[in-house]
Amino acid sequence: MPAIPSGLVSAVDFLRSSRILIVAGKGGVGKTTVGATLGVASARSGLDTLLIELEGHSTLGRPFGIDDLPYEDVDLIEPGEGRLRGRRITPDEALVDYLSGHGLDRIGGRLAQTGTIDVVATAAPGIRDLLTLGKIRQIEATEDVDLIIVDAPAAGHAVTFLRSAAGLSEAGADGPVKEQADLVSQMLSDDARCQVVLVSLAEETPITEVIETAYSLEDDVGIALGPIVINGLMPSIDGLEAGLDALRSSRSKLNNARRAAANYRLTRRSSQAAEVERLDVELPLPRIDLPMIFRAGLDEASIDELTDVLLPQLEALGRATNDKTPS
Amino acid sequence: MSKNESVIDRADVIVCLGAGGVGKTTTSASLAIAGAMAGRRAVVLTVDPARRLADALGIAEPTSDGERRGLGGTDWGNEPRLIDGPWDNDGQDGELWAAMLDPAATFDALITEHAATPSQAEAVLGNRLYQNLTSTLSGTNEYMAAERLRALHLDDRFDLVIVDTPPSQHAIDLLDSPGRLSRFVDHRLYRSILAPKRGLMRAVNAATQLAVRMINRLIGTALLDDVIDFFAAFEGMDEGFRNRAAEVDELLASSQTRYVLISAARETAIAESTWTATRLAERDRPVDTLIVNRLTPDFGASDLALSEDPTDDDPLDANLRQFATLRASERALIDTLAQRIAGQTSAGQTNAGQTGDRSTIDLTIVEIEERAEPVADLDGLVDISDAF
Repeated sequence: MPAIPSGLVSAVDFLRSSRILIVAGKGGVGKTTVGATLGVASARSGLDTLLIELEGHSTLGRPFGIDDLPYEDVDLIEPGEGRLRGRRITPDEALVDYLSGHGLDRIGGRLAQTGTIDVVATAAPGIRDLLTLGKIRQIEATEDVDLIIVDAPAAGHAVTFLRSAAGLSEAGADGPVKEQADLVSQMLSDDARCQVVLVSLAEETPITEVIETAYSLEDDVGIALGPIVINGLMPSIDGLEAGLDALRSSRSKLNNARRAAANYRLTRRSSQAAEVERLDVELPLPRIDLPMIFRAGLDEASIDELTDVLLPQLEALGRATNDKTPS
Repeated sequence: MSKNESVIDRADVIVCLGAGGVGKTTTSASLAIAGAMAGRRAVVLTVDPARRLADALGIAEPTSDGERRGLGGTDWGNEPRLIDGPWDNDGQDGELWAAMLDPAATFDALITEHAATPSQAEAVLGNRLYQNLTSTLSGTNEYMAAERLRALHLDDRFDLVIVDTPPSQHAIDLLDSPGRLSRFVDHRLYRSILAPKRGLMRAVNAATQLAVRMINRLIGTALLDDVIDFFAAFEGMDEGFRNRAAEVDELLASSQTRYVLISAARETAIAESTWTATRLAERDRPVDTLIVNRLTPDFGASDLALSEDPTDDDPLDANLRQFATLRASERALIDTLAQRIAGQTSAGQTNAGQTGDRSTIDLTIVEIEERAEPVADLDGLVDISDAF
């Protein structure tokens, strides 16, 4: 293998610690941004990486200039040492795929079109999710990819999504669905194959939800939890507090604005710190911190900026993984 | 602050739509407070509120999703509660009520209402497939929200109903849910599944038969049997269900109902909002009001902050400049969204007809600035409600 910058070796150790990373979190916490950032970090570390989007009209392709990811994978960045491709998986397409793989391609399109999939989905709860997970498993089994990153449904739905295989088995599913459910369950319960990366903002509701999600993923799904990513942390500015003190009671228009903005940042930082502290107490997992980006748009420059912050943290996690491995 | 006429004056029903994490629940509660302050008897139907908001509104915790009560379960979750606040102590006659959506209890009540006999209700309520419907048939929670919205609208205690839509993959699901549930109970596949059981000799479409065999092979007999039992028990209730769904749909389509789109000023949220607005326009139910939530505050002196020499390393100015830059990029995204919505609304004017004056409404835009600390109590909500 060609030389990879030395620090990245440990990042690779972390990124290779399981084949699939499922990125999950409440809506609006930046789950998609984190998925894209992990993808770029992985490609930069020399790995052949596949990003998978599950929700319709998500924005996973946007930073790379693609509005809607297609079902067939496409390159998201110029392939170099590593590679980053992206694709979409939807249950309807996965069903058609599955049926055609079993010599039943004609009925597949019909089932999807006529709403019959609703009937199947109602009789067998979770079948849509299972079809999607089955497709991910098939990619894992047949494609030559180092790392698969999945942008999972929003938090509450993520548990339902990942519970689908076990749920179907319990409900008494039989035949091909049962076989598929068993294969997916094996994949999900093997931490060398699959891990969940939870994403949250340092705010009350997302933190509460992420803690609940973490416990229910461990208890109800039995899937390994990777590091938790705290997104959107307000960065500090050196000398801000001293500057604020020096303003004293000056009431010029500019000083009022300076004072309000400085207070805003400091208050946000302290309430974020309190939430992070609560998280650390209630959910002892390795943590990755990502800063707030001062641009509303999601462009490649933002992802690059986040990747620069992410990589050293992945290296630290990789070193920790190595230290745990018995020599 | 002088106020123009706002959505709380125009509407009898307000449907709040928005992607997850944009502050939809908080915003709907604030809209209801604004309604009460304006003298209306407002009720807000919330879905899964954050703990602090539930406490602020004095409503109980929701029942966990899979948990179901016994037959004829109580609907305490659905029952609105009157909330005291500044709207009823300054000579106004406004009222604020809050209720929490309990989809399972709502569905149970619908079944009980439409069943021909108590034993039919019992058979449906006890069916395993039925018990999973609210969590497995997509759109069911949304339909139950729409059903409750109709019930509250018909309730004389209230003259303004505000509904916070359930977190779903697509915010638009609520609008499509009545049709979706009708199609489900009416699916011809069930007719064919039930045909042998009814002893009917009616010819069943060969492709449909194939589909039934397909399902049987895919999921096994045990699960298919549950489906058959459910539809056997449901027999005869489908017409009542369909009629009710049509009534709900009519209310959602009428000009008494207004759509409020709540968005955050971030690219992912704006993309979702653009998509939702387009779907609303396609259904001839244009966005009445766009609420941009959690906009980075304007600290003042922003022209100065944006124009100053960026190499200046004074921490106070660097800080001010960062927020001014962020706000400017947020404004750019919002402008694009607002223009697209306005374009869709004016396009709708050309095919005005059934919807009366609704397609000629102008888009109202309300901006709510991000707070340094989250809204923790009723006072905070009252504060936000001032924006409407």
